[in-house]
Amino acid sequence: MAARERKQGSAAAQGWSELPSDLLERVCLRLCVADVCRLRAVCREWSLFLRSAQFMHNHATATAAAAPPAPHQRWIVVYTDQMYAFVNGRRWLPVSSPAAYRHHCRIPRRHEEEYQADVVADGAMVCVSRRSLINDNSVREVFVYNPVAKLRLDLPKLQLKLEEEESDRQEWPRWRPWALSSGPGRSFKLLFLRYQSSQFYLFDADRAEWLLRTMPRSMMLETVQHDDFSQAATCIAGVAYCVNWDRSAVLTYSVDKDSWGKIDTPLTRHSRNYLLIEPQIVKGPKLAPMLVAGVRKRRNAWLHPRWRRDADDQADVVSIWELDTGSMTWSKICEKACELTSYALAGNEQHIFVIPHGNGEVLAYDTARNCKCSSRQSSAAGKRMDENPRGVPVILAWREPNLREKLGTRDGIRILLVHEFACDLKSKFLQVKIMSSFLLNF
Amino acid sequence: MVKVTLKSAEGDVFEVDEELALESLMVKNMIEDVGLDSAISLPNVSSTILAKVIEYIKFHMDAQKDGSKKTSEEIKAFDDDFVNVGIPTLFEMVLASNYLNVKSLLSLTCNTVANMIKTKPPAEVKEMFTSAKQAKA
Repeated sequence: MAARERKQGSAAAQGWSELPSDLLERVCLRLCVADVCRLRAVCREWSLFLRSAQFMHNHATATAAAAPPAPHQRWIVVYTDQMYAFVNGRRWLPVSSPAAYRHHCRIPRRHEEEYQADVVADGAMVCVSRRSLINDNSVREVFVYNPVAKLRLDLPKLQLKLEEEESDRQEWPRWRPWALSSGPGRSFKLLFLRYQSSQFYLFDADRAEWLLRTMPRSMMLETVQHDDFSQAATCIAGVAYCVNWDRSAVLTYSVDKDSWGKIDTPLTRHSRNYLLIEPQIVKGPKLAPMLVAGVRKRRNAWLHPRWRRDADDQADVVSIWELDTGSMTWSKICEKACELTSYALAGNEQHIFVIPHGNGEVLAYDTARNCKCSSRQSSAAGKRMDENPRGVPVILAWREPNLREKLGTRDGIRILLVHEFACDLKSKFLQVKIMSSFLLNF
Repeated sequence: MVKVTLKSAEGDVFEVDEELALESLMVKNMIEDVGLDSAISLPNVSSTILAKVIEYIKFHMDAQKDGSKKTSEEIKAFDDDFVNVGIPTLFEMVLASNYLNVKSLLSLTCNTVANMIKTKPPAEVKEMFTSAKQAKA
């Protein structure tokens, strides 16, 4: 009897790593993809099981039926001989080891085609074949891919109406998927538009066909730089936003109402490296996008200090605006002076990060708490180290360009793990201490 | 009414109605195989857990009977209270409901576990279960 009790006791004590896999599966089928990925980090047994193809298949089937709301996710895509996707700024990634880079996914390709992946909301990305399919440059293969769930959804082939001068060009044409708006169940809409053209395609998953539409000529999207596009466009609550090429306006398209609009932006030609971002929290009845941009005020920085006038010697600033969806105007939430000679912007669903290159300091703005930290105002001088409330380090990753000179590689991913915030209540920015930083290159 | 004798891991004997015992598919199979003469031994289920499982089945059988005045709120309140136990107990309940093959209880307990680990970072999940381990030890 005693032996039996001991055996029972140990079964409970070893507990959850010993949970039979059919029971673990039962539990995990009730969780969303993000939770499953998190649980992979709990122990080896769970990791092995939750990575198995069989489980992922069962999970995908079960959750597709239940259709839970997918979290907003941004992805970083790196092209090598294979395509890789990284989760950008995920709070939920297991970060116990510097091996966080293992949390990338390979995007499956077919027919040896080259694909262009564009980053869109709601956890999935849209991939479009870059070149012609079987010598017909007007046909594109399009699929929606969710890298976490490894779900690939092939859409009907897109037959483009190309203009004459475009048809014999082999380079990546000026067509871009812009927004993915997901509705209830498995329905979604995908917007596919062309620079400097008033025609655009709309894919409706319910009807499973591409529709050719025309927009007002004044709304035409001018060219947006290749690398900028994922930062310049976002889709919130069925409305797609995109910063126009000259930064003077944000184009909006309401997917449900099929209506276009234009909002003037506070950006100037001195604005650098802007980022349009969807905040995590719902402001009022509607979700409003936020716009982040750095402005270089020190225009004469190239001058020798002797020749500079004091008036020119202002600090560079990073500003954050929020769109008031009622009056369609941007209101500035905060501004922070920082050195902007070289910097990067990145965002995830909760934080906006400004990373001045080189000095090991990161500025972060917490969109969820609006960084007011009211309960923490007792701290001396308005500054204190504020522990991340849930104790989870934030992973921050962005694509670091220009590594060709430094490392001789095409592209790299800089990953930072941060877990301590120091809160500056005046400017509403958080100072972030970098826990570890590593660079992946291919 | 025919009674069935169930014997827990500790050797404690529970006498329950046959109708109630048949809710467990595992016990049902056992009865079909060996009949009602001898006690059915359940070496994987401790007395406390077996008592809880019987309590659960009894409540739900009463609730399903015609003329039962229990509202769905009351049933939900019972279920919530029922799974509001420590992690080690909950774990044993998951295992027991799986072993005894009681579908509704298994889905209830799995749901509870899922809600507990939902949105929690891995370290916290780990800690939750190691603290359960220490409590047990």
